[in-house]
Amino acid sequence: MKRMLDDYQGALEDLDKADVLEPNNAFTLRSRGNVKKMLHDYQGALEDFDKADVLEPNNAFTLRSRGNVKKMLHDYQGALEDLDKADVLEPNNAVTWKRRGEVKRMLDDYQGALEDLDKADVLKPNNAFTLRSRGVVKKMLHDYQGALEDLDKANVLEPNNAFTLRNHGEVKKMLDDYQRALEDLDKANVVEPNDAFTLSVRGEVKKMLEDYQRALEDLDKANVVEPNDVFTLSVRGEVKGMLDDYCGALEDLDKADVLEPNNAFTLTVYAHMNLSLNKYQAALEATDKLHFLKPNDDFILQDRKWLKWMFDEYQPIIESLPFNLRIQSFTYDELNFGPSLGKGTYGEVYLSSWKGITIAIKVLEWSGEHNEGAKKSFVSKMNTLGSIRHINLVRFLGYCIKGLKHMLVYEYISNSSLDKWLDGDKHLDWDKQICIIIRVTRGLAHLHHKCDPTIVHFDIKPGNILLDKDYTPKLADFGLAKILHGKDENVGCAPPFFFC
Amino acid sequence: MLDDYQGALEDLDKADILEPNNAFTLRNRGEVKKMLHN
Repeated sequence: MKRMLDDYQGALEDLDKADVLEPNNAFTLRSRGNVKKMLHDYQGALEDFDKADVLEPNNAFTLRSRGNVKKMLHDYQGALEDLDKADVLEPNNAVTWKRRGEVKRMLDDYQGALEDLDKADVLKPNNAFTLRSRGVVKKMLHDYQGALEDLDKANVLEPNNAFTLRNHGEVKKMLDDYQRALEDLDKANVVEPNDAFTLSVRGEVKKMLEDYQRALEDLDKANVVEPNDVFTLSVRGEVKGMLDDYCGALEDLDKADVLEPNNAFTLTVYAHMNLSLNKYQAALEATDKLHFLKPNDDFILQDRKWLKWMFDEYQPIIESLPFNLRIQSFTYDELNFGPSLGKGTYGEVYLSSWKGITIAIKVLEWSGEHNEGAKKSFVSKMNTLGSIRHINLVRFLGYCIKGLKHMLVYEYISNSSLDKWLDGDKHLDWDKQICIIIRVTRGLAHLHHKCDPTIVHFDIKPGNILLDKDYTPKLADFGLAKILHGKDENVGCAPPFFFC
Repeated sequence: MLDDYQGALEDLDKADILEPNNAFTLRNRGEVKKMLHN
């Protein structure tokens, strides 16, 4: 590299002398402009090209070169004007097309960029610059497979190009190939260690691989290089939330929201964060904004409906409870037993009501030991169970002990269990089924990653997935394996069939 | 254009010795040096 720069330096010295001996020669100026560009002196290059353009206007080479230098100086509109003129003066030039394609990409005209880069590729195939630029354009147009093909070729033609590698990594991330994305981003990071884009995307990939601590390290570094990058702030907010640093998370998300209000990604993370914190109003406001931005998004629509119900109807009832965020110890007499709702693994469930709230009571087929120590242990486990809150888990409200009978009180979920929908005459369309699967995994992820100690369900089946009136699934019977039978709930030891 | 930039450079070097400070020679040598590394 140094040798190359030394040689350009030699060229520059010759052209400087020529310019002194015979000033105002368009050829000298044009040539020196290009040498200065190679030496990264873009301003000096621009001055030479400007002079050459005055001395010899309408020279396609000058215009093409000046367009390139203007691009390097981020004057994309000026660059486009020069390259348009060059294209008129000398049509069918692959260099003009590939440079104009790149400039159009910078101006977010992805369709125009694609047309130019396609033409350049036909005229001069296997050019790493053209392929790399087109790969990124295709990525922006959500053609991830096409982008991957172009970037693969560019990577073969010119390996270790940080721009190719980081975009290659991002495209693989979009295609959910996180492990390979990480490999590319690691390589890009070796070539350009302080590139904020690489660090930010790698942080997100590590988040997807649930390596939250390392994700945070990358996102912190990216944030130092580019403190006002909304994507970095939003992802870091999400990662901090996963690490239970809710204050830090909300700080990042608030900053992202000030920098770019109504960013759908920021709003989604913000809504989920507030939901985890049981802040239904803030979550609802964020979801309302998301609904305005994406009115036809079924996921948003369902979340919004659910939150609205939570905020309007459920929250006031819960807040009126004497033990707001603690579980209730019910007396047997205050529970009004209604009809049986069905029999589960751990006992029969009855419809009931308490102070006007419809509830469900599970009468356990388990009595435990009848002594004070056993009762204390049971109550302690109930408190642990009561501290678990998630939109996709059936909310545990309290317990009742009557002699040897132990009863668990849950919120009532009105739309019966998933098995009734899958086996009976009822119908669930495909989109709803997908929504249900995704939401059940969210509930499971909460049990596996947010509960201390970790909870493994051990009995995931359609009968334990209850649907509310908006088809939001809620996982039932979690935590009971451990409480009643002392099963080892180490996630690492759970064989895959537990999750089937 | 035969693209023999090395040969061109040698010739221009000789021309520069025989007749130093010739703008034409220098201009073209500068361009050739640039092309050798493009």
